[in-house]
Formats: sequence, C-alpha cells, structure tokens
Amino acid sequence: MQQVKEKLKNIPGLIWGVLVIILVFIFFAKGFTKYQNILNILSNTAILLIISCGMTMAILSKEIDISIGGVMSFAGLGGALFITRFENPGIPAIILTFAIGTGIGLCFGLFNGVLIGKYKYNYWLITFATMSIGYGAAQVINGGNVVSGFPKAFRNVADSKFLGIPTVVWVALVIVMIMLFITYKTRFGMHIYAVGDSEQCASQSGINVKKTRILIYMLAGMLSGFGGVLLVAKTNSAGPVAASGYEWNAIAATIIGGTSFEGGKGGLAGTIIGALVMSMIINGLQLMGFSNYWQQVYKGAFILLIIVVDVISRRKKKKAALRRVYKYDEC
Amino acid sequence: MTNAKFRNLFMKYSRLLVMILLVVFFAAATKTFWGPDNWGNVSNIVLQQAPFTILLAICMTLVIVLKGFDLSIGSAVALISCVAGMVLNKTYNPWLAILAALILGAVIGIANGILVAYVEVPTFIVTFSMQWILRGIAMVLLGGKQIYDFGPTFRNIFTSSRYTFLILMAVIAILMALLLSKTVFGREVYATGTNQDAARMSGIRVKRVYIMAFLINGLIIAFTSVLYIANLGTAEPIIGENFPMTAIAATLVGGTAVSGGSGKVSNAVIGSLIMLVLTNGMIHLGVPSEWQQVMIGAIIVLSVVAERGMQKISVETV
Repeated sequence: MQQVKEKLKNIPGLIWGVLVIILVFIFFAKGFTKYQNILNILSNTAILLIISCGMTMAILSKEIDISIGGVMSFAGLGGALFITRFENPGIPAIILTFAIGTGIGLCFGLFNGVLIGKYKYNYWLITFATMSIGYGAAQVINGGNVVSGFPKAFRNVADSKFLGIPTVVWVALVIVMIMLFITYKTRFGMHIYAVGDSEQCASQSGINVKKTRILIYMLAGMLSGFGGVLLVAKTNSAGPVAASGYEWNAIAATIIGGTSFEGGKGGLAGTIIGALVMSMIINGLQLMGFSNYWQQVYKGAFILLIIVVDVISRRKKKKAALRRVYKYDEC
Repeated sequence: MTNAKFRNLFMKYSRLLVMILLVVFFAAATKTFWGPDNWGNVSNIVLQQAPFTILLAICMTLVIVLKGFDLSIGSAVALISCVAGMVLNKTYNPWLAILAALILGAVIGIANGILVAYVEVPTFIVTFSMQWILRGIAMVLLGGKQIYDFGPTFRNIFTSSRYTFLILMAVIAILMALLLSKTVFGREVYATGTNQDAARMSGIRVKRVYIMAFLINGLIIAFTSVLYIANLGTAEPIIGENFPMTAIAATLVGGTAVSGGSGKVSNAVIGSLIMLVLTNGMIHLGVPSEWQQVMIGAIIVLSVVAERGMQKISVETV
C-alpha cells in the first residue's frame, strides 16, 4: 500500500492538466462516456500500451527508439502475408504468425541494439534509419498494396470479446504484467534504471551496459513486432503505413506517464495511465468532430506542449535543488 | 609525398572518388546510364532536381553542424508553398508571394529556434512535432486540393531561362559557404556545434547562434519552396514527404559528421550529387522505385558507420 502511495506521488502535475482536458471531453464530446465508447478507448489503448512498454524502457535508459512505427508496419505486413495463405488456420498457424511478427521485430531490435549499444552510434540517427528501412521494406514486400480480409480465427485474437471485454485488452494486460514484472522486479529492470541514471556509474559498478542496451532494443523491437501483428488482427487490414505515427503516440504516452528524457526516472506504471490518456484524447478529438487535418495539428501541438512542460518543470526542480544546496552552504 | 599527406588528401577527396566510382560502376553495369539517351535526363536532373536537393542539404548541414536535426523541412516546404500559392492565386503578384513565403519561413525558423535554444527541447522532438503541425495546417488551408493558377508572370520569372534554378542555387550556396567560413557567425556555429558549454564559457551567445541558424534555415527553406512551386507548377499539401530523409542522407553521405562541429557546404553539394547519381543509376539497373526508401535508410546507416572508420584513420594520421 505504502509503495502504491509513493508511486501515485511520483505522477507529475501534468496528469492534473490532462484531467481537465478529459472533463472538457466529458461535457463537449458527444457519447464520450458511453459504455461502447469506453470499450473502444480501452481496445485502442491496448496496442499503444504494448509498444509504449518498449518506448518506456528506451527512454528510461536515456535513449529513444523511433523505429517502432516502421517495424510495426513491416512486421504486421509480414505476418499478414503469412496468415492469408491459410483458409482456416489452426492455433499453431496463428501462433506462428505472431512469432513471425515478433521475430521481424527482434531482428530490427537486434540491429538497433548492436549499433547503438555496442558501437555507440547516435541513437536518433540509427533508429530513424531503421524506421525508414521498416517503412520501405513494408512497401517492397507487397508492392505498396494493402492486405485485408483475414480468417476469422486470426481476427478473434484481437477482435472478439471475453467476459465482455475485447480480447485485445486481455492480450495487452498479460504483456503489460510481464513487462511490469521485468522492469520492477528483475535484475535487468534495475539495470535499465541504473544505465539511464548514469551510464558511467552503472558500468563502474559492474553492470554490463552494452548488454543492457542491446536487450532493451531487442525487447522494444519484439514488442513492436508483436503489436504490429496484433494491430493487423484488430483492424483487419495491413498496409505499408498502417502504423505510422505510433512511435509519437508512444513517446507522448511515456512522457505523460512521468518518465522523463532525463533517464532513470519514471516507469511503466505511469505509462499505463499515459497510454490511456493518449487514446482518450485522440478519441475525444474525433468525437468532437474535428477533421483529420485538425487532429494532426492538435496532436503535434499537444505532444510538443507536453514535452515542453516536462522539460520546463524538470529545469525548475533542478534550480530549486541548487538553491537548497547553496542555502545549506551559507549556513 | 609522405604517407600522412597522401592520407589527408585521400580523406579530403574521398567523396568525389566515391561519386566517380559510382558513375563508372553504373556506366559499366548498365547500357543506358552512359549514353546519349540519358543526356536529356541528366540535364533535367542537374537543372531541375539537383538545385532543390542541394538547397535542402545545405539547410540540413547548418543544423547538423549544430548537433541537431531538422525533420520539419518537408512539411515546412509544403506549408510555405501552399501559402505562397494561395497568395499568388489571389493577387497574381509574385513579389508579394515571395515576401509572404520569406516571412512565414522566418516565423517557422524562429519558432523552432526558440524551442531549441530557450526551452531546450531536443531538436529531433521539436522538428518532428513541427512536422505534424505544419503539414496539418497546410492540409487545413487547402483541404487536400491543389492550386494551379499562379497568374501569368510568376512562373516566367523563374522558368524563362533553363538555368535560373541552378544559378540561384549556386548564389545561395556560395553565400552560405562564405557565411560559414569567413564570418564571425560561422566560427560561432562551428564552436557551438563542437562543444556548446565551451562555446558559452568563451563568450559566445549560444542561444542567439541557435536562433540565427534556424532563422537562416527557415529563410532558405522558404526560398526553396518558391522555386519548387515555380518548377512544379502546382502547390499541394502533400509535397515533400521524403525531403527530411533525403536531405539527411545527402548531408551525411557528403561527410558532415553527426557529432557536430564539422561539415561544409561543399560536403552538402557532393552528397546531394552522390544521392542523385545513386537514384538515377538504380532506375537504370531496373530496381523498383519502392526500394528507394530502404536504400536511403541503409545509406544513412552506412555513412554513419563509415564516418567512424574515417575518424579512426585520421586519428592514426595525427
């Protein structure tokens, strides 16, 4: 209980601002609070949450992985091309589809991880390049066409209901549980925080920084590959740019959830709330009847605003801490 | 000539060598690349594609020297050309449109600069969010339509001679080269890019350098957009989606280092030419155009890796 309370305290003031936005939606967006819409929001959150787990780990380690959208698109299309070979796929075929997607993600993650973790290349640039390779490969693999019309058994993984709640939410729940366990309870999870806090300290206290970084990117890649296939199952279509923009929603979800670019601060618990907030905002904007074009403007502005608030509040905290130090000095 | 001198010379002209090798390779591998059939194509590329790629690569060079990236150039081109197109459509006055474009470019540049310098948000984040915002505004303004009607005088100014784009590009490139190598501001840019803290300690107003750099960046982008719609004859909100990728790839291939503090206009020029030779050569090899994006991504990775190798060689020389 104590721990939960402390975690709640760590959630930044930003959340309260977001609550105001949600109140606005409740009053002005028609049907925002309807049961069906809430289920809709939940199932939209599910996939965002899965990939945000990877993003949270990357940002916790003071880096970032923007290849997520490209990897998702490519992995989703790869899985889609495999499953459409079957008329009535059994469970093994479905599992194999997800394994293919996850495997593609793993390859991209390994590539990122080795170049960034082992050889210390600029992470922005490498993940930016893999993002473009992912989108490009998704264009190449099916000639830029969209695949749709998947077998029912495959779509049931994400698109049916269990106990009144969409299955995709259950899948996300299982994965998030596993990821929560990994980041909070295992040695590797502690290493992520240590590496993000100070790479030098971490390596001098015997942590294998390279291995940790490679693992982070591998996990992030696997999660986005899996998420890509799940997205295909949920939307019943797979296109070369199906997942574009997901990387930025994931960054926003992570930052809203209180993980800051400073590294080593925050965690997955906050990201769950952040992902919920992100899909509520997207959903609310749609319900309020803004056109696609305006949504793009608002989303960009909103993410920029969140990040600016994060950066400014972090700097204020630093200044306050400095002031405290100097006061002590004077005493 | 000593070994070290030879090495330095090799390092200096290695990109030129790469380009010559590429041309030789494509000429040997395909029958169509080096032949009279391709001459018209080549002159088209040099006169109508190269100026834009080079101008955007020069913008990107300025930002990469400062250890940043600008992903918003594609959307900025889209928005500025839409606004310029709308002004032209209403007034038929080309100079008013150019003025509007330059003002808008300056505003976008200053907004980016303030967010980077004063709020201290990473350039990647600033420019990527900006990319969405700017393209979104362009789409809101035009609603997915195109503008064709620019009035009788506008396109004549730029297309009456075939060489206008090339000459204007050369003027801007020379001005930028002089700005970076001969002025105090240029020195300040290199100092800030190499080590921001050291630059601040030695009395350079780092924040002003960032804002000025993004302002110049915005102005060049605005000018490029005007040239772009003059060349294309239409303005629509979806243009320039691949610009940031291509510009980054061209800049890095040309030898500008991501670690900041080094890079010249000549690097941007040679990098852009290498990219153009590659894209044209691949078409002649019969590679489908879908592969282009994969190729550009791979080139970025390769050139970053190669940069590390080059640094090692030059360190050994010292």
